[in-house]
Amino acid sequence: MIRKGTILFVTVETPLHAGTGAELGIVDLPIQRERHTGWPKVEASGLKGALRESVDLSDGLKRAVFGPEEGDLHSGALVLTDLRILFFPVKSGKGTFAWVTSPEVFARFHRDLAALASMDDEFLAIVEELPEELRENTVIGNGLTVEVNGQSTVLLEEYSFGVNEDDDKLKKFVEWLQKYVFKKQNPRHADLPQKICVVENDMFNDFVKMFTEVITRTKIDQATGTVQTGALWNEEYLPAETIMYSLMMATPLMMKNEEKPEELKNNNPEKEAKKVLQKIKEGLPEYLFLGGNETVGKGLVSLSVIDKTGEAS
Amino acid sequence: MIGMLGMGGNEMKVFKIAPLDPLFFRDPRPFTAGEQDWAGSFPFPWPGTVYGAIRSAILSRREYKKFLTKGYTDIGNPKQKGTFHLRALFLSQNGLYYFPSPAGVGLEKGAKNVCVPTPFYLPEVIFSPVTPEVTEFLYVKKDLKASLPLWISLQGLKEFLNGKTPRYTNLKGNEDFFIPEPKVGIKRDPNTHASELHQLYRAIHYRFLNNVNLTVIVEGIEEETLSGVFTIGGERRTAMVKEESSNPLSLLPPPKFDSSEKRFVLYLATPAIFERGWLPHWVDEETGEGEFEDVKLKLVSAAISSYLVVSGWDVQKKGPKDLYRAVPAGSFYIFEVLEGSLGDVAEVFHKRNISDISPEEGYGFALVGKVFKEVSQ
Repeated sequence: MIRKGTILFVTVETPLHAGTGAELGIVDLPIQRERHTGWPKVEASGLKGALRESVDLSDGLKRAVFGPEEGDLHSGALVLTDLRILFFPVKSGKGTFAWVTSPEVFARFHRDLAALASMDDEFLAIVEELPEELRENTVIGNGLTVEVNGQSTVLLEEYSFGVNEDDDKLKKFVEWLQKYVFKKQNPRHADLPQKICVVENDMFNDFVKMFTEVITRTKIDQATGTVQTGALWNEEYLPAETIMYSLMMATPLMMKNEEKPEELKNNNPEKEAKKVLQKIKEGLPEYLFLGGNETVGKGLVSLSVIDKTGEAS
Repeated sequence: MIGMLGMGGNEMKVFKIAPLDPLFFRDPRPFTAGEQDWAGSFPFPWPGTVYGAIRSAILSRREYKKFLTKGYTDIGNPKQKGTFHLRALFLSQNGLYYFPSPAGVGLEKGAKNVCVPTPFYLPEVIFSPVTPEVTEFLYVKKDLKASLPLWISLQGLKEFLNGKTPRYTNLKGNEDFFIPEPKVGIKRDPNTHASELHQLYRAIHYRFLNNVNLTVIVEGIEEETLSGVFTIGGERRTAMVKEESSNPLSLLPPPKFDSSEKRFVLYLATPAIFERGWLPHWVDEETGEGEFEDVKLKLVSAAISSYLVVSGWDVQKKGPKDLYRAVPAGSFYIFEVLEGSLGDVAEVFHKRNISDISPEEGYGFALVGKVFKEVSQ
């Protein structure tokens, strides 16, 4: 049984391509998506691999936490879910861009946190500070709104719709985010209230399907200085400012007692899992590269987790 | 362990397993890094897979050293299982329950009539490719739609077990519950950061659609309850487990038989692994007669789909489990009572695990029903 867990928040700093391989379609190299919603995601295996490469742990601890690289002596103690979307950035007529979410996205976020709280009582208090739902067509303040015929209106890409600027549930969620995810020292802390917008479910689905970044790339023939024949393709990216999350959980070490690293070993399985999770959090980098095209600057993401004290790190 | 389970005095518990991510239940085809690159999978797990996941989840709360040496009453030790038994495994969605559809049941082509296979008596069998010889065959009068439904609601199953034709609204396909979500994986060389050769793989995970969960009936565990997140199936995918207060099996009592009836249906809600392939070990291969717990029976007919190949992964041994050919869930047999009553039959077979191999892991969960007479509505 999973004994301890937390939420790992991933903010996309440069466009991210977690791909599915080449496909026949408008986009040659699309991003990974959930089959039933079409929402972007990043497979847990990709996230785990990137963490393994970047985390600041000794080889022995890495082997214990992530599992051995070769063979199947034992499995790792770290368990991750796929990265799920929380906010998607959309160009706004006012305020440059909005962090867009939907009642359906938030409902799943709430359910996922409830799952964590079911294994960790200390997490229960954190979950209880969240609103139970978000209402569509809501913002906070006038950072995104213009007045059209006396109605506060938001302009996102080609969409325009009336909003309520003073929604208490959204305010509660933003306060929660500022307390647990984007603390005062985070550069996004001040922008958050002014940029969050809850849209209708269908509109959110449209945004994440139609407004990802699709770039066209070519390969230049070194001899002629022109594009090589057939060397043109397009790639899809999750735009910078996308915010995703994963449930990051730990089990007791899955290895023989005598082989366990001393600093993690504990006869109590729950305490052992707690040590594993703490060690991972301590070794987490602030930034890492995720997905493809790292050498052309793609996929730089920043990480933060919540700990039981409620302070985001 | 060979034998039938279900009469234990241990308290039965019902758990709901709600996936947090798409799940991956690998099929037994070889899949070795660098040799094959497609991993086949199923949307619905074997009972043994769920049994192993729950057993591991319970073990994670205990002392591993004690498990290796003395063991625990419920989960046993590495060499021997304990009192923990998985009885049944099926689907649930929004408070409704779904079981594997009985073999041969389907929708009439071009209509919404449900057809069920009915016995067709041949007085002289000229040639039978199987033993024991059966003189009654099950067939369907009308043309069926190409794709047979794979799931039937609890209400529909109740109708079937009471000898009635289920309504078409009670039948569902896999697409109503699961959606495939293929993924591609690579292995990166930690030094070069390039993909390693021959390490590309593709696997199909299955996402459970809205509010679709697994429901598991277990008994013999010492935990007061199981609640939280655990991993199930391949790639350590996660699911939430929560105890349910009501047992849906209470809605499937054995049917009421007339005193003139001598035959009954034995339906398998989970796959069964029999020593003789499609025949339980207590049925004589030549005569088709058998005796179990003082009830003498004769096999009349059977509706059995193609065998399933069942295996799994032994976490303790870090290797694959033995491979078996199993009778698929949804298969059913028709027996005639030679000595004893149909009341005795229900006592012996209804809600029991009748698999010859690994019944404690949930294989061969059987339900007793009436033989249907109607062909279709």
